[in-house]
Amino acid sequence: MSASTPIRPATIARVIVSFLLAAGLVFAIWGVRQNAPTSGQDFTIPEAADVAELETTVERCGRTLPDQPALPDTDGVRDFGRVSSTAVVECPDLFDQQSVVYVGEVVGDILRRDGGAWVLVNDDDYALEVGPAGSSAELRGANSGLSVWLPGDMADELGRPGGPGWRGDVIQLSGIIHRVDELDGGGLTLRASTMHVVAPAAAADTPVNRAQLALALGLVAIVATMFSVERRVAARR
Amino acid sequence: MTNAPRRRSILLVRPSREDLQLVGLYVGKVAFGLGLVQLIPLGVALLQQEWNSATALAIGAAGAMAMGLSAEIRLHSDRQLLWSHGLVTVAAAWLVGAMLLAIPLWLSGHWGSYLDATFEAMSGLTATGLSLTQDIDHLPTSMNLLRHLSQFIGGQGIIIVVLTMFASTSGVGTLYVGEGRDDRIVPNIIRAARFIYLVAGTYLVIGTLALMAAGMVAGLSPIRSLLHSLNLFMASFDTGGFATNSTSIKFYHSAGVEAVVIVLMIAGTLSFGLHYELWRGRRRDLIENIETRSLAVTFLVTCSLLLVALAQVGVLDGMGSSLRTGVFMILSAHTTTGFSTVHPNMIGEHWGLVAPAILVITMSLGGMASSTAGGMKGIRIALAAKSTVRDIRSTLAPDAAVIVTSYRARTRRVLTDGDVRAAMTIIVLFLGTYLLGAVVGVYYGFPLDRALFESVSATANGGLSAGVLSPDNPAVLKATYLVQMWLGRLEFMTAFAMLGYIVAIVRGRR
Repeated sequence: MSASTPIRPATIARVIVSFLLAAGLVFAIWGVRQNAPTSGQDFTIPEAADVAELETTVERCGRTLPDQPALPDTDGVRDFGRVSSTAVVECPDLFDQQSVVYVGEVVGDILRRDGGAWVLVNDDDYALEVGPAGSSAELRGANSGLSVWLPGDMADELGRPGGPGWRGDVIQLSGIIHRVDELDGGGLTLRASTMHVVAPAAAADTPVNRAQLALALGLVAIVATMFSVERRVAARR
Repeated sequence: MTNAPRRRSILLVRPSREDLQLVGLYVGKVAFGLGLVQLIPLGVALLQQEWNSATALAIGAAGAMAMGLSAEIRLHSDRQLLWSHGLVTVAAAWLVGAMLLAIPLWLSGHWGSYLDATFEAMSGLTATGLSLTQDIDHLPTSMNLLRHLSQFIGGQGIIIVVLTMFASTSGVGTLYVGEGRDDRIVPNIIRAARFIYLVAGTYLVIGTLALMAAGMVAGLSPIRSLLHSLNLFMASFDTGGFATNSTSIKFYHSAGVEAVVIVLMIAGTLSFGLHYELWRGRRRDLIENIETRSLAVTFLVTCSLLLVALAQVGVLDGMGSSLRTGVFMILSAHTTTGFSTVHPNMIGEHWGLVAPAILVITMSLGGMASSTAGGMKGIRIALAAKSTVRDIRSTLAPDAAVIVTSYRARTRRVLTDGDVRAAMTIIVLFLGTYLLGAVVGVYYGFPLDRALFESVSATANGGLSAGVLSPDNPAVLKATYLVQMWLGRLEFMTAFAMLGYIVAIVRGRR
């Protein structure tokens, strides 16, 4: 560490001015973020879609099965009705090898192979209520969904999966939950037997954030100016 | 009462203006480099017509470049970096870098607060892989690329970016070492930095093509497979663990993808020094190196224990699924990558106590020193083990006997007490930080086992989660994990040097 020159008041003043400039920029960015425009688009599933009501609500069960409700039983397979992915992940033993109904949005990619297709089907709020986060400016936590195997040509009915700027097809499935699916290397899966699309894929309107655009252009202009200044200063050295 | 004069036990010299100028200049260079890096996802955003992401990235890039240019204009210096400058620069650069990369992430609207976005950026740069992204399944392609790019540049070391882009030889070795690269690959630091990128670039091409082929076999279209593969490569080779979707590697339902990822994770956890020896055709180094031996032993032991633990709990039926899941999860933990083929809640709630505990131990051990991996590192574990054996042999040997222990790490070296002390210091610091983070987790109401899992994951830059981390966590807990990631990546001493510098500014003598 050099002790040749102590820190002068002018240096401290420059540091303070730099901090103030940085704080101004932070404030501008904060303002842009807080005032991001929303599309106001409605992503709720229309009543006419005839979607099954959510029946089974399970919060936590660990490895201990809670008191099991009396459910219709066909050859040892009980029909749980419509379930959420959260309930299945919380209590995989409860639902293992049982029949369920599941509603959610197809996201990511449709992996067609082996005479069927793997899809990820989310039933979180982005899928069923508010739409993709970037367009609604509403954040509802992390995604939640189930891996689903669609046999045969079932996947042919699907349109564009959900992704950036898109809410994918919302589908209603019935099938069997596999706590440890050997064909998937031990994953938790839903093997579907029926599927129908309850809401087709739709683009999410994402209005351009004009304040953000203006700030970006302003900063780019400042950087361009600074770059030419730096070149001149470097040439003088 | 005695009249003894007050004495300062430590001599602290207040940094001069020139000292701060030099640190500011190099932090500015890193900022400028990170601004340039953001131009890549900016180009993707324009191609994909993700207009709000494009403006967010333009703000992020311009802000970072403005900082770099103002440092270059106001703070230019031809002075040579001393050790203290180098260490403080590295520690500050990693903090500033995370804060700068957080700007476009926060503006994208997928992170609940600027703290969450900074957490994500720090997780990316430190190649940890813990994530606070909300609605990742609808995240713009450009923002996903930025997350994965942060792992790529952070895995190699963001200072390496500066070294290769703005090559200057005056004292940059201090930056190189401060970033946790104490293994001199070649005497010239700039050549060493470029070699690291040569290795990374070679693996980038081969790894991306292999992943692309595996992705297409899994059912992805060629274009989608290329996009997935590029991101997946950066997260695998740099032992980062970010994924482009909410279900990590499980998304692909593919043993082929998992196999390629395993190869890349192992390649990423080998030190760049070992890569250099392999590059020169010295394959024996792979077998004789003390660290590869140490990692092989700990992998075999932890993997066997995990398989037994999983069999006892009975969560995975059948040998096939147990082997596939067990081997992948142990390798992901050992290389500190953080990919998962299991839902975090399953690990926390359904794997019992022993299996998660084995993952915690494995993550805490980590990969090789001077690699992209985190954790305590194989070399330190091996040196501690050798030292213990040496002490036992000394106890049993005659008084006049001199026990000399050697080890091979590229060259044959004699184990000295200094080596052991240095290794044990870092091991103790890691263990202490694991415990401190767990205490904070317990304070906020999480069970000890899960709080410890998450704390180890953050400090060892592991990235696996037992379901504790979520956007709903208290800000203090998120900030704790953020600091743990930073400390773990810099292996403490560099961060302590910065804290010492701050104390010296306030209390030091002129």
